[in-house]
Amino acid sequence: MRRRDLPGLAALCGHLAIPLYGPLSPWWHDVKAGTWTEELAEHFRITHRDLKFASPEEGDQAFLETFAVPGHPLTCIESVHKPWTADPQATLAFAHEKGWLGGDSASHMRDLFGLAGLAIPPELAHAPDHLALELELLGLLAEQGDPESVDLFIAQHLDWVPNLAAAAASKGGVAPFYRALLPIVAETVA
Amino acid sequence: MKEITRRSLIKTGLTTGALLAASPLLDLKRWAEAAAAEPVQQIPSMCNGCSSHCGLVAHVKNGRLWKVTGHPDHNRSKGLLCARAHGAAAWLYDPDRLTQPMKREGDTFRPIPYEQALDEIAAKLKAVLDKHGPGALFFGHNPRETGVFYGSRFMTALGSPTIMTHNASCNTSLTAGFSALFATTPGADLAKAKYIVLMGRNPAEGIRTAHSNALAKALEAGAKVVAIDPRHSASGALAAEWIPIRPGTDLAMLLALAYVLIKENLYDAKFVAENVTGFDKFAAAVADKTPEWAAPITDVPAETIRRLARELAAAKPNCVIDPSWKGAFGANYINSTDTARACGAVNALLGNLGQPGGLTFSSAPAFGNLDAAKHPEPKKPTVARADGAGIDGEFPLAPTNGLPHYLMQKAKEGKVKAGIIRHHNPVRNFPDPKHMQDGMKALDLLVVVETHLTETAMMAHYILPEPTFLEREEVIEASPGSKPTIAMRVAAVPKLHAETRTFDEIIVGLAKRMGVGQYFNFTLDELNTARLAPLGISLSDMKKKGSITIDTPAAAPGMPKLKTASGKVELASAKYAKAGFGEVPGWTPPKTMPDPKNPKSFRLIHGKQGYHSHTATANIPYLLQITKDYDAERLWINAARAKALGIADGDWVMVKSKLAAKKVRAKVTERLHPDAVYLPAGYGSWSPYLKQANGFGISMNDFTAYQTEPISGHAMMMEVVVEVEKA
Repeated sequence: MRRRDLPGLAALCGHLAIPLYGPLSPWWHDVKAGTWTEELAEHFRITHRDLKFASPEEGDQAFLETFAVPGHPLTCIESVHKPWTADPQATLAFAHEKGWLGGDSASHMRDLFGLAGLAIPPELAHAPDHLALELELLGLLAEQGDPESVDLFIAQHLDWVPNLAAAAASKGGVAPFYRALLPIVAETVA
Repeated sequence: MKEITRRSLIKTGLTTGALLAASPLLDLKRWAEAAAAEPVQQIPSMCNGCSSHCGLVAHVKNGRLWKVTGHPDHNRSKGLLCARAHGAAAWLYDPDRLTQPMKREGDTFRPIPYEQALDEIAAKLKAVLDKHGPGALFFGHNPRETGVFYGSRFMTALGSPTIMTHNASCNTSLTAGFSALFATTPGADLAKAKYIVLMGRNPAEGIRTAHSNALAKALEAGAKVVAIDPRHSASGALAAEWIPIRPGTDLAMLLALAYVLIKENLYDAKFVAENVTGFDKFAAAVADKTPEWAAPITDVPAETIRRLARELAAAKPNCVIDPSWKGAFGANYINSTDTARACGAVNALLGNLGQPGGLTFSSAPAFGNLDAAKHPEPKKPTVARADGAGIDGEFPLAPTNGLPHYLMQKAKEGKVKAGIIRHHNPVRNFPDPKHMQDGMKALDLLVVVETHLTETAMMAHYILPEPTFLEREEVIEASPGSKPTIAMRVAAVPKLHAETRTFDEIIVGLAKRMGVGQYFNFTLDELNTARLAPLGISLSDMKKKGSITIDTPAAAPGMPKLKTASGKVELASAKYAKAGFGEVPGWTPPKTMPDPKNPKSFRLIHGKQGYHSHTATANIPYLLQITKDYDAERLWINAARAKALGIADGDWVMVKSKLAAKKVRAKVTERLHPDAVYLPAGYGSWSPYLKQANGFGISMNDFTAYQTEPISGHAMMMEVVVEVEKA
């Protein structure tokens, strides 16, 4: 088992989730203005030359092009990257295939949020297993200081992130900011 | 590392995190075991995989769709669903769905909030109304009851009568033709027929499960089925006899059948005397339409035509020439409307109206209306339709489902300025996509309401996303038949994407902004309750059951009550004569014919596959995989003609017309008339947002010019000649 700095991980998860939420986050303006990047360097010693925008408008554009406009290249939702369900009774054509929203991971995450008495932002109701929310939940677990629950959650819910980072590196249309960010996320949950 | 407080969008506290860490359900595997043990709920609703809207039961487990089955009480599904229903279930969880309103910015789209989208659309609609009047607005859709009610009421409130469907690329000619004789479009009692002629109709691939089952029942009972079709379709494979007719000449075949029935006194003279007007005029018109006349036109031996007429007569009245959907007399040829009239006439000569195994004339249960005192209805528009349907000097005999392709011509001429299109892809599904695109580009405002970013949505100024059919509730609708059904779509699962809205919500939002909100001062529940009132069914019962069979006394066999002026079958039409067309159907050759001197020249025909609903389902990977597994996107070409051109099965061929040149692989077969090449409809998508379908196969519409049939204005989808050569 990897020894983790759990308080540090908790803070970093919350920090990394912010640009993945994009305009949904109340701290998105910090990302666009560069404050978020400065804090990443100051508090976590993580730097990358592409983790900045020339202007706030460029930040909005980067998020839209990478995650929101039709045909966007990346999907930060776990279900899409995993078989839809492990339930052998499911008989839909896609039941055991990848590429679909609302899979087991989404249902599990929705239940975990419910168990913890937490509300999923309505804008992400379709994707309780969005990477930003999973980082949030990981941060919450890390705050409790229980390494086993942290490792379990990473193994079961964040094992797809390295592939996402690889896709960000190879696919066209991914903004340099996110091409730089996703390997950092992948390293964080390794 | 310096200290930093964890920032979180979700509200957290120490207690919640501790609960989570301690819970056994944190382990996905343990959670999955518990989830698997949960019960499966059955929620009756309706399919949306094609235009039939069969009754469907959604099986739901833990709030997720688990499977779909046919609703046993719906007269179109009768407990069974086709492949498309199972495939369409995938739309719900498709990550490429439209999830939030989009606004055009140059060649791309940007998400915007719903309220902003509705504000901007309303402002632009008002600007068009102020400058150009309500005649410049239109609404187009593949009709679903919610669109029929809300879309029509909204357009009416704004003063526009131009409400259109997809039918001008489907069955407009059939509707116009049968209406002339019967004032309605009949069905066929296939299950009880002793003799069935399928004239281009293909129940084995143009599927409504109840129709397919009815054909199977007829076959099991020993009925003779004859398929008259340039192509040996899946229905032809079930038939006792395939008559490979030259495409576009079914009218000649029907006129010759009528000739034999009359000449040999084989028709039902008593039925005709009592129930038919215009017989003498019709008989005179076919007096020279001998089988020998028809044989060189149809490429069917005269003796075959004569025998067919005699066999039909021997089986009358329990026999039928299927009135079809699109078949030989849908929106295909310049003579399709008259082909439908002739089909109706031959059926009438056989006296099969209302008889077991003959033509059927059923009606849907009458729904109630909203209380007009509480919910005022908008006044009827006073301006003329913009699409020429029913308009003197344009297409006076065109049915009210309209002419979208002609409307785009009007848009290009600056006479139409704004429109709303819902669940309808005319850019891809009508001939000549450039014509359709140019028309849409000329609009000041195009709003598309969709679940996916189709070729038509790509032309929009605004795209408004709807929840899929499994997530929304709709207006109750009726399915006519001897055992009519009423059915309701209910949300089988919660709405997945917060920023999607149902069509009624969209229209109500727009109506309020447009100053016509008073016509929408009711909820969907109130509307549905009013519709159910005369039937004595409560809304809660309707939602619980999904589909309900309405007890209707079985009609005694015999002539139905027709709503024609005479109350009888009218073989001669004063309306047609007044509009300058033949009072009775007569022979009109196809507008285009392959060049007999050119070995590369063919008529391009098309048809449905049982596992696709045109382009609507081509992006569903599991349905598209069927196509791939069977190489089913290939162009069919007659074996002898292919040999002469050096084309072997599986070869790539180039298909050319004046509009396009495209490559596709060939299916070399003896199952096709030599004059024709055949493409399955539904492929050739170019929307990059339809990732599965994009670039797969080719479409007949790329080769076919924009054109309008003179009588009913339809798109003449098969009036196209192409050259085919080895690529």
